Amino acid sequence: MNKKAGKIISIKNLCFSYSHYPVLSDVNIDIYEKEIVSIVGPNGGGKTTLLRLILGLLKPKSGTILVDGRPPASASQIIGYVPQRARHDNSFPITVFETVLSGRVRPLGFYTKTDRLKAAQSLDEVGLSDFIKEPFSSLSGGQMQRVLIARALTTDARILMLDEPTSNIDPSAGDTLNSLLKKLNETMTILLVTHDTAFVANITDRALCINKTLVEHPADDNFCGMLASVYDGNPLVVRHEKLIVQSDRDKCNHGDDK
Amino acid sequence: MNGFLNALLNPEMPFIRFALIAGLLSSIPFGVIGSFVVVKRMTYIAGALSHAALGGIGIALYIGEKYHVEFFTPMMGAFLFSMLAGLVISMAVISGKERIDTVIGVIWAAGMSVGLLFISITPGYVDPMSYLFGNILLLTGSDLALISILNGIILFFSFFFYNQLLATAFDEEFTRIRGVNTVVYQIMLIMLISMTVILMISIVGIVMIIAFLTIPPAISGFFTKRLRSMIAFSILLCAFIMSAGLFLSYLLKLPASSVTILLASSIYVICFMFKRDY
Repeated sequence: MNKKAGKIISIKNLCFSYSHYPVLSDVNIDIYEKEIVSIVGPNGGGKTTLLRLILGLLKPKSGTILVDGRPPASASQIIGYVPQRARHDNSFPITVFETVLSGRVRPLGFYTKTDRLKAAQSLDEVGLSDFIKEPFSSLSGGQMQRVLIARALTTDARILMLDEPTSNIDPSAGDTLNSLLKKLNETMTILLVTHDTAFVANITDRALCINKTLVEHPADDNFCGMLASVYDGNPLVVRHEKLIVQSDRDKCNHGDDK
Repeated sequence: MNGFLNALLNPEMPFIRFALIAGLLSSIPFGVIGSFVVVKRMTYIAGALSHAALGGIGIALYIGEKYHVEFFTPMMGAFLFSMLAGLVISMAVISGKERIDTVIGVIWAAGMSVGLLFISITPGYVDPMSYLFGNILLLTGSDLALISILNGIILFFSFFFYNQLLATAFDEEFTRIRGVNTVVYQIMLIMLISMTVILMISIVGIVMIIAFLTIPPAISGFFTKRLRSMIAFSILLCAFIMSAGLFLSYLLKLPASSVTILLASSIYVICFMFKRDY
């Protein structure tokens, strides 16, 4: 594990269920400053739920999450969030600059000169200054992803969280994104939820393999091979039974869970 | 053309002048709120709210005629039902527990059925068509004052909360993470649609409300790539269509609302056929 500095996210005994359906069970993990951590696992395994819990969009059934020593809801200013691009309406009438500027939106009031300056700086940081007046919908998938990263950077975030950043982008755009994340990691902690283990293989410090429970794997030179050997194949269809001692499981009370 | 201009300036025919002024004034709420309706894909919500208002109108007409309750006017009935429907839809949108299209469908069908039911049992004769298509030529000065007040309210909210409404419309979840109470802005938008529906229902009718909340902004959407420009273009387009529709109806001696809606629809079809990606 590459512990570069102090803890920035601390999760203890976290359990979460939708209605009575358990999604996360007794998850414990610490994430350190300036780490790049990937959350991988199968569909429905709880990856995005864990991300939404750290963002404060969901409340844990039990256990605690601390972001920079605070509950997630009070730490939103240090979190830069990049949602799945597929969620956006590509025909929405909004320019690249307006999209980035919306990262500085407040509960009330207008944008200030500082907000505009910060938005322009963020666009420059992701290398898209030339597209400032372009419609968001006219960009390629990779460019859209970088615009959404620029939006997340406008808030002086110390943690960047990305949900499936490589979905719907071509391999060359993936390389550009990879380089950008490495550059941003010089000053930020990065947390990625992804299906794309090949994408994160050469940038991640640790992989958190999640399917209801969480198992941590350090990254090595043969990251994909290591995951494949641990899980007898594809880590995206993992079962953790082989890796978790039975007595450590099901520490959470999920109500009527059978 | 001269005949229409003479009619506009004729002091003995104020209704044509009022209709034109109402058309121009109502372009503002239709352009502003309609643009949000189109980009948020809320056309069916606007339809449900306007048909729910018909339910309130029917009950108010019945109670007014049957029990001689004068203060419960059709406008008040429309206000209560449309606001109530707006709240129900807001709760459904926010909770995310019900299929929103189902809730909209139920409100739409129930509102219209209640309206027609009570209109049918109301003593005397009430023409439901007058509420479906309105009659812009029957407007008075007080109607114009009401539209002006609505314009003031809509311009106030859309100017002071534009950034929050835009951010919420584009990416609700991200905006919520930024600390903005997006529920408030979602309810605000639905309530503004309700207010537009309520005031416009007696002026231009239910069908014209749906048409003008969607067609001019949809046409604008073909040519603009910013919400701000879409709103401005929609207002101008709405004003043009209202004026041209009124002129054509005068010229052809046909109902103003129907002619205006058909004109708007024709422009939409032409633009759709010849649109290109800007």
